[in-house]
Amino acid sequence: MRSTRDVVEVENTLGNGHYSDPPLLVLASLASGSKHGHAMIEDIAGMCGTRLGPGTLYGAIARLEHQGLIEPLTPEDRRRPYRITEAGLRTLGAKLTTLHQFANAGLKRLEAL
Amino acid sequence: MNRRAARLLTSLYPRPWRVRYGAEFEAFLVAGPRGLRAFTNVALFAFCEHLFPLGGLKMNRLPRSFGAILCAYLVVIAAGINFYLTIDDSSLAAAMRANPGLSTAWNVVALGSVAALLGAIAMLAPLAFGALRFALREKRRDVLLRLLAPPLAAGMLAAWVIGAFLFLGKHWAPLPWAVLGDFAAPADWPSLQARWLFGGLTSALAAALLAVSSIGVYQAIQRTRFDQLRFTLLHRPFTIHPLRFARIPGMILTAAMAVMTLGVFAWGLAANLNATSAFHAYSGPMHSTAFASWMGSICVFAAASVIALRTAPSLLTPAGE
Repeated sequence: MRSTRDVVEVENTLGNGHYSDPPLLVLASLASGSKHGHAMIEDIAGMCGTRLGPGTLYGAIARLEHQGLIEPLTPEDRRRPYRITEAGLRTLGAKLTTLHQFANAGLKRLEAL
Repeated sequence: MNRRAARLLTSLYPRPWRVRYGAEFEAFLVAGPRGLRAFTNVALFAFCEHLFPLGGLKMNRLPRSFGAILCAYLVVIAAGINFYLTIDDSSLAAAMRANPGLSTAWNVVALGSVAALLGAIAMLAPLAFGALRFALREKRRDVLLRLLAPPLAAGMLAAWVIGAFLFLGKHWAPLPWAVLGDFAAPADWPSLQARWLFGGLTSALAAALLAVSSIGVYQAIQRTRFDQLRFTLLHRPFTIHPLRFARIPGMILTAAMAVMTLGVFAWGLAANLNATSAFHAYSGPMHSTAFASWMGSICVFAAASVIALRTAPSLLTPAGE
C-alpha cells in the first residue's frame, strides 16, 4: 500500500495536479467569450489553478493567432481582446474529446487498482 | 511592473514580434504581472522567440536547410577538436602508428574532414557574401551582427585561452585536456585545482560561444533575402544564385560529415580492440578517459550527421527555394 508521503511526493512532482498546455488553456478560456490578457490569466487560474506567466501567455496567443485559431479584436485602452475562431472551436473540441477519453481510461485503471 | 522595465523586457523580443505584439504586450506588463518570476518568464520566452521565431513557419525551406547543415558542421568541428586533442600527445598516437586498423580509420576521418572543409568553404562563401551584401545594402544591423557571431566567438575564445596561458606562466592549463588527475605534473605546472578551474571555464565558454555562433549563423541565413550575384572572372561575366550554387557543396559537406562519423566510430572500435589500456587511460578533457571522450565525440558526430542527412534531401527539391 502507498503511504500518504508517497502520494504527496507524486502530487508535488506533477505540480499539484495543475494542467499546463498554454494554447489549450487559452482556447478553453476564450470559449466563454472574448478576453484580453489579464482576464485570460484570471479565468485560467480559476478554471484549473494554473497561472500562466506573461511570456507563456503571449507565446501561446501569438502561435494561436498565427494558426488562425484565435483572432484579435479592436484594442480597448491599449488592451487588445482576442476571440476564438470557428477553426479554434473545432480544434478545442477535438483536443478536449481526446483528453476526456484519456482521462476516463486513466481513471478506470486507477479504480481497478 | 513599471513602464521602463516593461519596455526593456519587450525589447528582448525579435523585431517582427515587437511590431505585431510590442505595444499591447508592454501595456499588459505595465498593468499586471511583476516580480522575478514574471521577469524570468518573459526573458525565457523572448529567447525562445529568437530561437524559434513565429515567422520561421513561413520561412523558405532552402535557407533553413543551409542554416541547419552549417550549425551541424560547427558542432562537428567542436567534436572533431575534442577527438583530435584526446589522441594528440597520448599513448593512442603511438598505438596508431603500430596498428593499421587504427591508422586507416584515422585517415578516413582526416579525409572526411578535408572534404567537409572544402564543402563548407564552397557552400559558405556565396551564402556569406550574399548575406553580407544584403545586410549592408538594406542596413540590416541584426543580420550583420549575427554574421559576425562565429568570428567574434572564435576571437573571444582565443583571447581567453591566450590570456589564461600568459597568466598561468605560459602553460596550457586553460585547455580542458590539461586537467589530468593521475598525471604527475612537473613542479612548474599550475596546480591541479587551477587546471580544473581554468579547464572548466574554457569548456563552459566554448560551449556558450558555440551555441551563440550556431544560432547566429542560422538566424543570419534565415533573415537574408538572397539575390543573384554578378561578378567577372578572367574577363568573363558570371551570374550565380547563392542558394542554388550552395546546393552541391551542401551535399558534399553532409556526405563528408557522415564519412567522418563512420571513421570516428570505426576508430573507437579498433582502439578498444587493439589499444585497450591506452583507450581507457585518462587522456580526455576534464580528467575523463579517452573512451568517455570518444563516446562524447561520436554522439555529437552522429547527432550532427543525422540532422544534416535529414535536411540534405530538401536541397534537391526545386520547390524548396
